[in-house]
Amino acid sequence: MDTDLTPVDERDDEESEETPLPFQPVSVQDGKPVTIVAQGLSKYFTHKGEIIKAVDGVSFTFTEGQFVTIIGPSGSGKSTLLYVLGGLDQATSGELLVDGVDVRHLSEQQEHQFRRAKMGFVFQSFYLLPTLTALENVMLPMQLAGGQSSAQLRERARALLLEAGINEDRHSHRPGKLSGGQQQRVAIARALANDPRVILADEPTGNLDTFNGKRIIELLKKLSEQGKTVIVVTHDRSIAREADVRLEMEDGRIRGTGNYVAPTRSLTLARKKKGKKK
Amino acid sequence: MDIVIRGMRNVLRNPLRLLLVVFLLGASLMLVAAMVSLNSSAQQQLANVHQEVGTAITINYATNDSQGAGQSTANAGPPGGGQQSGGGFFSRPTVTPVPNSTVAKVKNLPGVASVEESLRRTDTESILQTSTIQTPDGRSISIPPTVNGISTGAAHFTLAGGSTPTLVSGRTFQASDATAYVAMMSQTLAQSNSLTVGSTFALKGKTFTIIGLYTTTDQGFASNSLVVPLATMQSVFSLSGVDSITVYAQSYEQVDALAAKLRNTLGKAYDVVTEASTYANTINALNTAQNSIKLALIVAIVTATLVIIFAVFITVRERTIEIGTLKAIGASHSQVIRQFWGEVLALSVVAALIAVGLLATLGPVISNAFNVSTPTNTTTTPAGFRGGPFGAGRVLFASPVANLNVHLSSATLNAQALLIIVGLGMGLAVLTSAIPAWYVARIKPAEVLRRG
Repeated sequence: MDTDLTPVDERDDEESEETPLPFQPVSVQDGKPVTIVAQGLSKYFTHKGEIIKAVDGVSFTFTEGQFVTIIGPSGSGKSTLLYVLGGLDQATSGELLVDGVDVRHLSEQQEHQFRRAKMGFVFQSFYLLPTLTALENVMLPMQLAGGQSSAQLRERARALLLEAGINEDRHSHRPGKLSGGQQQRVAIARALANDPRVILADEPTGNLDTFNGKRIIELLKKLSEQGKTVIVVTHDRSIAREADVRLEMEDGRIRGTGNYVAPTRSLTLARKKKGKKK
Repeated sequence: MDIVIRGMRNVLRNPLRLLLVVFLLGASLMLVAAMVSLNSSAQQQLANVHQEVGTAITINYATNDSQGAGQSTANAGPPGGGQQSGGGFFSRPTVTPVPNSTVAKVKNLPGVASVEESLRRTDTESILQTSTIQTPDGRSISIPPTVNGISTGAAHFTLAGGSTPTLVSGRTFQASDATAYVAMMSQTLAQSNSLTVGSTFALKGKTFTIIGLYTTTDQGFASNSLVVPLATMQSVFSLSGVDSITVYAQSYEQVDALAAKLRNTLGKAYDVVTEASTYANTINALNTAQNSIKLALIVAIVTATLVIIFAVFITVRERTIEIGTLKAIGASHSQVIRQFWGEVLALSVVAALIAVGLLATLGPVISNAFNVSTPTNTTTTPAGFRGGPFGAGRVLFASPVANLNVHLSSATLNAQALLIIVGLGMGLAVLTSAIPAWYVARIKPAEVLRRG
């Protein structure tokens, strides 16, 4: 994606007072609470006067506990869609509800709150803070949220790291002293710090070898089984095959039968495929 | 682990750069403090010199220098006119180089605070008993009394040789004495003639009453002197002018302008001399030192500012991804900015501590580099700066160049220096805190993380 782009119709960056997130009742689909609803979601950029439709009117609904993959060639808009879903980018148009929060109408301060409370991010390059230990990196989102004692933060971070597969003897290590796979596990533990409803992972295995990549995907799948909605952007079709829901993107649109991919159908298909393998 | 500790760790993440930055910043802060201290000292010294120099401008007739007591009267046409009188070893011309009309013209010039006239003659016909001196050929001759005429309102006055009179009994002149036959006399001369306050004596055929006695710092001519009101003296000596006049400007800063105006008004017939020119060496040395100090001060401030701006800018610039990550995991602008402010503050505090240490050790060395060296000229240092009943005296016959022994006080660690270092350090921290604030606000996490 060209980085020299100007977002279209983005709202002003004025900081406002901290206010409660605008909340709408969460609907239920197939007996599960809906975590993400996108309707005609678009993200446009201008580049040298030309409008680039990075995401162009996509619609979908995801529910709790789904493992979703977004797959497509470079520049198809999958990462942009992920950032829009995570509130890191503002959609140009369309509707977006994440866990009942109308993301498009958040103030900047509410956006921070939203990301802190509802989202967990996992990046290809891990983006752990190099001066902090593994434990401190996991504590950081909780510190930003506030409201817990240092001991509580430490205990929760420790538990999350263990859950992510980082042994205690590595908790005091800085990222530079950890392997790529370990760093990504720490990043996943950090993403879980504030117990978000949704985990967004942008090419989480992109910098890992096959073995470690598989273990990370297993970990993410485990999280979805625990009730998180996990959305993974990937180039890897083998990872996409693991998904309950698979979105294939091309030129900013969801390719296939319309813009909407029914989660239940995809889930059924994925399970069928799994059954065939066995 | 809180935001402060996180900031400290970030400060320490590149120890080599940290050392470079804090030492450069610390050295600059130390230089600023040292230069402010030296500048203050130079300013004080200049003020002292200005006070020494005063606001006086002396006007003498150009071709009949008043130092030439006893010189030939054949000088061409002094403008004051008057007749020749007296003769012999102590004879003095009766001419008055500065006529009363010139005095009046000077008094009317704008910018003139006051004018004091000086008139001095020896009374060779006096019957007063005076001390004697040996001539080069071994003869013993009496020193005739020197008669000084002063304005009744004169605030500055010295006797021959620059001696300052100090009243020991009686009183000084009042406005009502302007044309009266009253005199103040040297105590030595009075005692030689058994005179006291209230006694009378004859001068040029007139009877004068002694109203005051004074002592002098000089036991030569000054101890054989007496002082009478200027108008009275002009009357008894049949003079219509004075030897020289001293003009006082309203302030030191106006002296040069007034001197130029006087030169313009009086023309080349008169020498208009300011005391500032007498102390030119000292003043120039101080001005040069002060200019160097100011230049160094500016360089130090600019360097300190550039160092911290550079350090902060590099710090935030290289951590764009980190800022994006922090925002992505839910940090607000203010939370990110506070972390950077903590780091900037930590840099400034460490630099200030280094500056304090450097000033304590290098302050005297730096001071020496900027110090002013002017030789003390004891032979020409003017006398007569003491207070007394005639007011602060002023040398009448200053040599062309005189030096005051000035010395800039050493820049040491004191409360003022500490305040400057800490104040500037914190000020720069506050100033540069705008950089992370601006930078963090404009970072879009999606953009920087996408760039990766």
